[in-house]
Amino acid sequence: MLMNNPAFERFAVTYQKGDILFVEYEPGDSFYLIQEGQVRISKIMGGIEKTIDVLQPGEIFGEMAILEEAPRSANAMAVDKVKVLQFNRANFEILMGGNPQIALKLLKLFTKRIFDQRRRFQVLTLDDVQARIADVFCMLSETQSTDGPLTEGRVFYITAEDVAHWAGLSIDKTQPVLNQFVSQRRIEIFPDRITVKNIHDLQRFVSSRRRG
Amino acid sequence: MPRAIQYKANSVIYFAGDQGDKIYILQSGKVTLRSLDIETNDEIIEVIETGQFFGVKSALGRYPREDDALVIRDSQVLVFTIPEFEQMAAGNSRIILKMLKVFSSQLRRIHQKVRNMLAQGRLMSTEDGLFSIAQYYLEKKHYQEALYTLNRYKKLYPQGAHYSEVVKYIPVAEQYAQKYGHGRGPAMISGSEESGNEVPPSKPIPTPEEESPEEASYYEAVNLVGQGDYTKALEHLKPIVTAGEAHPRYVSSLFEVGRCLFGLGQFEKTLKHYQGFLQNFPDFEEKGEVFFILGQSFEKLGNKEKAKEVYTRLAAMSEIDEVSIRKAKKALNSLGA
Repeated sequence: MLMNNPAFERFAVTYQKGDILFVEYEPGDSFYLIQEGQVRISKIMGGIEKTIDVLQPGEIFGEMAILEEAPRSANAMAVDKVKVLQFNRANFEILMGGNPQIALKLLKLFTKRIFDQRRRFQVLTLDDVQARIADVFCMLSETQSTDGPLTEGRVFYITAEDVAHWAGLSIDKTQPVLNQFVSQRRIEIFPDRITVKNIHDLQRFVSSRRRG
Repeated sequence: MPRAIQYKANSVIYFAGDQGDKIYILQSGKVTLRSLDIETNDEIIEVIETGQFFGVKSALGRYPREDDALVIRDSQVLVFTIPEFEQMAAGNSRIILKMLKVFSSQLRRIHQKVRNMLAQGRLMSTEDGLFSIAQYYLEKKHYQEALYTLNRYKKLYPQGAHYSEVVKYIPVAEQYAQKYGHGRGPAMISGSEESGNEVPPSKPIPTPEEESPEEASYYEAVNLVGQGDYTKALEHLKPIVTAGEAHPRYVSSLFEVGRCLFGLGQFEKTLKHYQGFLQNFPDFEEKGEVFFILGQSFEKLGNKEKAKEVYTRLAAMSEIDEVSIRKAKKALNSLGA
């Protein structure tokens, strides 16, 4: 594989199982390409550390650091012994110029991030708090695969805190709206999940509010 | 091998909302991309230059097209599948680097917008945030993680508001890590101790407010429509419709009745129902959906001309939501209009 190019050995860093690569809010100035081992990406929300993703060799993470000096948005920890190539903005072009495959991988990652961020932005532009919270469910449902055209019910393994996080609202503002949705029987809240009865009902609700 | 395809003026290469897996280069002619600004909803027209790629982002990211690709003058485009594009790009890092620059600036801009929106909802400062992460790990007795975070704080914020606490915690965390290990030892920090979180996972959490029985029956019907149980949904809707305008959900219920009829395959009845509905409630909120179902019903009954007429009217409506318009355009396209 190209990534094992000896010319990149000088960028290699090894971590032991359980080591932290970075935590949320830390300033970020480098991004990583996994050569060996797995990296767990997590985020602490509502007093619980949630695993967002477990990344495999060949995957890239921390890529926002190439673009801007922004704080990290999640934690990264070595699941086992991990070897990564660590790059910063200065040596980024060297890497990309010589490695169209890595560049292509990054290009794909960017397209996905642009889409996700645009969708997230759309949610946040809704002034109506109810519509915004409903749209969080719509957004999450778009990344789920649907089985069968007639089933409009959806299950999300998320909590009220997660919904608040996605909606960019405090939990105090989010909870009453969720309760209202429950009393309208639009959703049901369980300790480990939230179910939506009819996702199209929420979509119509959002689009009727979006027009205003 | 990428294929060259000719498009006539006024044709459409793809619509916003289409799922597409092709990437295009304009070889000759004129193509524009039409999209809506996500902030202002203003129409944005981008003219594609000869030799320029388009459709790259949505194809590579495997998400729906975000713009309409419109052919202004007779044009020839070269069409790549994703593997063909990748193969071409692998031999030409200059193209990829150029795209990376464009995409990274787009990403930076949208990311900034999201952050600004979130900042309005007052988020934690990065300094407080980092300290809150350390606190979390201390609470959970994850000493190694806590130490990493505390040491980062110590280095980054020597003048920080939590500095004195941080330097106090570090030696204790080191000691506890040695003595007790991960997840053990006395509490270092007064946190929310495991608060018997043992609610059985099968029972929904009850909510305080109760709805009126009228509302309950309506939402029950909507849920049934959602599950595709139209017959049962109609049973719930009937009493509401009979109650007439006095019922707060009268109009919405009439709308749902139409969806049920359509779902049950009674297209003639659907047509009659919705035509009457539109006469009585010409300003109904979800008029777009009503028109769309009307069009679908005509199509199902084999009346393509009427279907086209309805979709064309729908596509030209200004006060209707974007989704309905998009659906109408797509339906028109598939009818070969």
